[in-house]
Amino acid sequence: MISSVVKRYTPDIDTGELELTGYAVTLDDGKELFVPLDESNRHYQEVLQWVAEGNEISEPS
Amino acid sequence: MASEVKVNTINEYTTASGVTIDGVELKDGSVKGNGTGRKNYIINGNFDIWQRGTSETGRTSSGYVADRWFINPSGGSVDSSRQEFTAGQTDVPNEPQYFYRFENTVADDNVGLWQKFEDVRTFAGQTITISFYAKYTTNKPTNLFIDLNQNFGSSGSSEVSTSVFDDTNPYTTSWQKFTYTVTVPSISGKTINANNYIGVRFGNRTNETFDFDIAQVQVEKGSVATDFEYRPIGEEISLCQRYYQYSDTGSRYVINGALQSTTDFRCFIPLHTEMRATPTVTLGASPVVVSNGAYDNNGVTLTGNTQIAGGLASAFSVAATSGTFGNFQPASMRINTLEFDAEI
Repeated sequence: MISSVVKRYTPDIDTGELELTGYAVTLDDGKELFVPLDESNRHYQEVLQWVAEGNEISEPS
Repeated sequence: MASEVKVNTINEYTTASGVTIDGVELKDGSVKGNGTGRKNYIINGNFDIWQRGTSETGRTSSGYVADRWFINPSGGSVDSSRQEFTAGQTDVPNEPQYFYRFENTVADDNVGLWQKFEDVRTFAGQTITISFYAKYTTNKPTNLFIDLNQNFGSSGSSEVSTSVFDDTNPYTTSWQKFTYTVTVPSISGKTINANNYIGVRFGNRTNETFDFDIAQVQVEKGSVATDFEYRPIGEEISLCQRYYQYSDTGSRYVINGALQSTTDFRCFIPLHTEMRATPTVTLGASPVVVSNGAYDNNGVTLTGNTQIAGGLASAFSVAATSGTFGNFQPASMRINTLEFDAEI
């Protein structure tokens, strides 16, 4: 079960502009996953479902 | 009295009938539905591959232990373990080495074990046969079922479930072979989206604790259960690694790359084989990035992955905790474990 989701950004290699490139997902047991923005990835689908249930993705601190 | 018939050719009676010899159907140059080789659609049906570890206790959330085998604990708690056959036993033929022991230790219904096949188009409109060996050890499962679930992906058509088998007390404490044949529904008119699959589910309807042992699982086209297909172990693990890969190097794994800036480390992480999707990555504890005498051992963070030929092009956020990182400098990352998950 997902406990929290934080956005992960990567600088564009030419411009340095930050792009959203994935999510850091923390599960209830404390395990942390890096989830790519790939609709075929099952964890990405779980993040979408988690958001649809009313949860919010955080910005990195 | 034994007899022998010698002929040059046996032809089918009609163009659709094929020829049946002692229950084996021959059609158009092959055993009907099976062809030759790669007949078993189940991956790790012999339970030889356990990249995540060979046992686990107390699983209460869905996931995997034996490669490719998805556990749904429902509201129960599942212990999984790899068990070894005694060499020379003859209850399960051809000397398999391992079987899977599945134990639900907290009473609940619909606890089950799945294998999901990539692509819901698999078997659509065709007849398939499921075969396996099974028994129980201590707590008999009293209402077992097998069903097929055609899942059409996110926002796709509603899932279609087809019952293959539903019966009380089929298992005993001795190994038995079970075979079931079913026609898979057509997918005509369905909307198919990402992450679609067809799953074979072995479950127990009764709210109870139970256990079962299972070996040599095979799903093949056609209406005949043929002998279990053994594949070379290297081929089997490669099939598994399309969905999951794990590396544990005891902190000796060094990945070379470069600092694009003082906070941006880029590298290439090799994979054994191309994965089904861009994988979820789990890093082992405390990765360290080192460059020109400076290092970050406190907060190396993966920020992006792209699957390219042979592996992942990856980006990490870094900040030197000792010394000073420079722009465009060679750098290396030391890490103990890497886990890649592209399961369905």
